[in-house]
Amino acid sequence: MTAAAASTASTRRAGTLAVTTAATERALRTVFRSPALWISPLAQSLFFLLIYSGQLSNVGTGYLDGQAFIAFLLPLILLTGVATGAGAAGTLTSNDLTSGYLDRLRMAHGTVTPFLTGTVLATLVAVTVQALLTIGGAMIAGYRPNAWTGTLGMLAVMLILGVSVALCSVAVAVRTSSSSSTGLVTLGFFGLSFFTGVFAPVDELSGWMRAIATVNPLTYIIEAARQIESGSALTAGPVAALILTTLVAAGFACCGLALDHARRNR
Amino acid sequence: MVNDISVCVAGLTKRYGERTVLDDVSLEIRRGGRTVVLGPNGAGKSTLLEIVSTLRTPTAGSVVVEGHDVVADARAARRLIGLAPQSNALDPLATPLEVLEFQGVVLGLGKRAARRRSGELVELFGLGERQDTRIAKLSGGTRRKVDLAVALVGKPSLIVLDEPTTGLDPLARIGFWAELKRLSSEGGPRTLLISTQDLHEAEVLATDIVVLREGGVVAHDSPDALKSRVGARILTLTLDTPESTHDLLDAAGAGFVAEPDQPTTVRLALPGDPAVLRAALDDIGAAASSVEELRLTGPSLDDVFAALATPTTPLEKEPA
Repeated sequence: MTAAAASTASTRRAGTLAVTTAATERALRTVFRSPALWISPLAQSLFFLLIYSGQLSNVGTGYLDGQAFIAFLLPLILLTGVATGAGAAGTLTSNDLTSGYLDRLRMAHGTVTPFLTGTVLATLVAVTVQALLTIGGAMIAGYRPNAWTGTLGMLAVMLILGVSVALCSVAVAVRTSSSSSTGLVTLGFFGLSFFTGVFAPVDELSGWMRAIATVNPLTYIIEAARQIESGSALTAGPVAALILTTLVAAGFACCGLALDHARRNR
Repeated sequence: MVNDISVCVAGLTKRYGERTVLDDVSLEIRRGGRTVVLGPNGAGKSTLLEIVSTLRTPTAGSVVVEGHDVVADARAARRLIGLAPQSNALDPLATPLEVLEFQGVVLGLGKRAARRRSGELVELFGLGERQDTRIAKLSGGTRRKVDLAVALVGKPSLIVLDEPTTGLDPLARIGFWAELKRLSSEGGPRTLLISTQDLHEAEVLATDIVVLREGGVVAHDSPDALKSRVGARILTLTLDTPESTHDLLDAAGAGFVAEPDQPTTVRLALPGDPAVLRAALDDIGAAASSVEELRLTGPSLDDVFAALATPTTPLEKEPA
């Protein structure tokens, strides 16, 4: 038996699901062995939570109609954490690209899709853990869920946004092979999050800030998350659902375009 | 004979925009051999290896690995190729065992089979003591061993190594060369395709040498045949001053050439033709009062490289 025949016999086309599962496990291991990738977003979320709730909770009681300021603040804190944490997908992809490891895996399997999918899934698992720890931190600081289903619903909204952030950062990594460029995606979502009703409902804002917040898509996502968390009428729901769907679709489209560009320039 | 050929490259051209990296390259790589690709920076060595490995697609021409076209039948070709890229293309946060097992799963071995194969490779490369150490913490030589072990997970018949010992200390390099020689001779015919800038590495490893220059093949032959093409013997002459060296080069009838970076040394490749030897002796006699040292040596791959990789040598075309 020649080596070629032995090789063909000993290997078979790996099932995409098995490879995606293994790739997710591997990416998770990488995330949790890189403390900077998960400690930094968690520390940032807890820092903002403590500073904002500590300094502004008394101000907020004036316009929150009895709602706790920390509960009002939590969706924004989770969003900034998701924007930072999900961006790790781009960093991981960029590391694998620049080291040549992703090429090696592509050569072994035939396509990079399971490895990029695994990276996105692992990042979302890490973001979920970060968000749960942030909620735990908020509870220590005084947050009491109106209902756990509402809190988990708010978390789900943020994770859907996280899918978009992760996909966009992977797309930038594939297109540029630069981890510093993938940071721009995080910066974009992070920056936009502060042009929403950060510390007060949009109705309470005025002037240019109100104008920007009104057209900022993240405003509706945060608003919907606040409504889900508090159990109030979900008036921002339809617009938020449309925006989330568009953002996730845009993430997939960006990845598709970046991969197609890479394929054509090989 | 067709059955002796592992890799057949025919009319291979690769362009990036206006820049041509490989220009109509044709080669046949013998099964079971250790073919070393030499060439200066930018000659197209890495691009050639990347196309053979299915990582890049050619602009024109074809590459067939063990009967499988690397573009039309890339999936089948990939299964036969093990690649160790230029840098350590590994996950630095994983351990050797984790990387090997993951590679096995990616290649389609079941988890159990991947674990068994990883164990075999750990043993083969003597990685047992380091199998649970993160790759980032391993020495360069051990990392390179892991790199090679990963390339072997799928039991490939063709192993492609891009500058495999760059950055290794001399002892690690010697050990790595021994591993490569062992691999090429154990377990059936296994072809090694290696690119390097290191002529000593080529001297140690190569059964065949391809010299690339400016994207084209300048020569493809066995090391001995290439050396004899350069000349049977090399006559090296050291003179007392750069001026007397210039005088000799100006007056020489035998074709002495200046040694790069050595202003008082000249050399001459001596073919079998006695007329050249007589002309050389006349030149030496004329400059006798300035001669400080004279050496007659066999040609090395340095001489082959200097002679073939310089822009005066015409490109060679092999039949597809």
